[in-house]
Amino acid sequence: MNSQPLLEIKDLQVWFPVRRGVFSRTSGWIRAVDGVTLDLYAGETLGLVGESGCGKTTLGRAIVGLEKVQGGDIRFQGQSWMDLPAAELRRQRPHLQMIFQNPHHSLNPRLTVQEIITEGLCAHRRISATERETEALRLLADVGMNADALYRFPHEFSGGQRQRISIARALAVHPELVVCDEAVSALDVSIRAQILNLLLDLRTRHGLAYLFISHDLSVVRYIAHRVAVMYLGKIVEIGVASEVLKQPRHPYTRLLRQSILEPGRPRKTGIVQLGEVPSPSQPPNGCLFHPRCPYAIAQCRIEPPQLLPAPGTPAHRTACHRQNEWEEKGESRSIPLT
Amino acid sequence: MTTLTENSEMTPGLRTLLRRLWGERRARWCLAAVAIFVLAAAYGEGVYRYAQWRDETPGYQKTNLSERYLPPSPFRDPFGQARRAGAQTVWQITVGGLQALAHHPLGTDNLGRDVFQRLVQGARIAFLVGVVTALIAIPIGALLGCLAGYFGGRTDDVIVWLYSTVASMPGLLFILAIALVVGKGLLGVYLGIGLTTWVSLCRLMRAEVLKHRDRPYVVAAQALGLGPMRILFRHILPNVFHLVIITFSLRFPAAVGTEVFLSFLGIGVQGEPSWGVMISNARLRLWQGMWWEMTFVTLAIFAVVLAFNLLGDALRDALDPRLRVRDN
Repeated sequence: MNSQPLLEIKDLQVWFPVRRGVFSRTSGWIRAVDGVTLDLYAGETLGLVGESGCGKTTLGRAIVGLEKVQGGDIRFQGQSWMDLPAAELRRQRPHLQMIFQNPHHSLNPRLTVQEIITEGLCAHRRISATERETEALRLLADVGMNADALYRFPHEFSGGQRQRISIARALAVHPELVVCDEAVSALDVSIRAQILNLLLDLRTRHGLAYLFISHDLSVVRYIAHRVAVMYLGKIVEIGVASEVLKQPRHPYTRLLRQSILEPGRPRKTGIVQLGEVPSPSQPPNGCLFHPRCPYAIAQCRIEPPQLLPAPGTPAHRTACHRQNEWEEKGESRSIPLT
Repeated sequence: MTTLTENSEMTPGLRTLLRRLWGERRARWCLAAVAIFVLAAAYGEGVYRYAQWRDETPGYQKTNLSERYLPPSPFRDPFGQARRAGAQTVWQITVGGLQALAHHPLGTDNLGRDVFQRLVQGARIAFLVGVVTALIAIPIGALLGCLAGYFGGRTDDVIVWLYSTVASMPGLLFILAIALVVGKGLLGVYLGIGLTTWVSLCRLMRAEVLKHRDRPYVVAAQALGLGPMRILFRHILPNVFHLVIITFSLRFPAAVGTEVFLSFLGIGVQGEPSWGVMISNARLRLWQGMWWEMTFVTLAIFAVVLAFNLLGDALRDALDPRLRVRDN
């Protein structure tokens, strides 16, 4: 990995105003993303996991420039995107592309496949109208589709094929980073594997970096180099995928991991699901996870934990006051309950 | 590559659209009716221009007081007429009868003017009113609706205020005011109808664009870095364009109806036989048994309105690719 990250996010905040009353006064804020700091290197895949409503999609959209950012900084290849004028930002957009969850809604039903996938190139005047067909053919071949798809409409394809078209559209403008927002969640299990392998294949061929947003840990484990776990708009744990998923240091990651069902592994009955996610408009004091955490101590209710590295592994950082108290007990690890 | 060129016929063009429409029986009838209407209008325009060029009274304005109140020719016993005029052989009777049939086929009015020719002139004026008012109202409504729906915020506030204001004025008063400013006649009708009827389309477009604005395909276009105008007019507009077509097919007959009404009131077309003028004329003599003028004008209006409405439905179906079965 290079020293210069492809994408640097510093203390990013995306808040949505809650408006009430006749004059739509802003009565509060939903802190969808609240102080996220991330680095992403070229060619690297970062998995972003968390339950629904934790702000992972909002973070992805904010990176691609689809959300109004409240504070913080997004730097792409060292250049800050926050103070770019709108027209210049539009010109920079192709560097970061996005693949959407539902391939049935993300393709314009009135355009042919050729028009859909070459639209970005045409709009940025990278190709002329006469080159559209050859370029579209190349892109279709890239995502493993036949040439006869060129002049057909999206509704004529299956979900998996549509997702391939959607990937071709994102790749057309030669992005360095692709944000995959639940890119395989809406697909059948068999198709899911195909699309995942396609994404892996494209990653090696084009040197792409992915921000892979998913709620499905098994998918993330398959594709991601590093994993970040989000909870209520904050990153609670980040590190190399195998470490984070095998030896989680945050109780929330542990909880998530236990929700994966795996053949041959008995369902664990250690920590039971404790309550609901608190509302992001009224986040709890101290550690955001403490109302649901079985290991919460007095300090957790008062003081928000910092994202600190584990002693041996500086890349594996966790926001938990008790992250160094894990005890190995044979197969299972736990923190002594208080 | 040969397969590609064959496939390029799949892109929907005007020709495929017409072929698709033609495939449906109801749409075919409507297309035929609309075609007859357009031809009649074109013919009427020709007659009008020709008479103007020759600087003479056109046929539909020629009065003939000896032939007032003639009923439609089939009701005048045309073959009996021919026999009374001295025809002997079957051939002579047939020819004479057909000539009598062709003479004022739909009868004459109170000044002996030919109802058929006036009906054709009425089609010409109805067509002009329908097309010109649509050309005024649809661009205004579609453009403002798109802008309001897509940009929201201040733009939306201004446009909503504008159309609410226009909608709150009684349409007829507005048209009367415009007619007072620009003078009685067709121009007043065009402007009056055109400037009052964009509101409904604008509302529809705004709501529909608003619905599409946050659809993932639009978000994807934004992520590609496309400009707002390209997104609005290339990506969103085709998805909401059926509204324009339906509005056109509904506005057209409504505009014809309004023109009829205005001419009936006397602030519409001046000196030309529009359908409204004809109805206004005919109503005075209907109770005396002169039914033909009123009947044929009403039938013409009915046919045009029905054909346009049904055609609008069929067009919407044909334009929606999701309802379309691939035809190769």
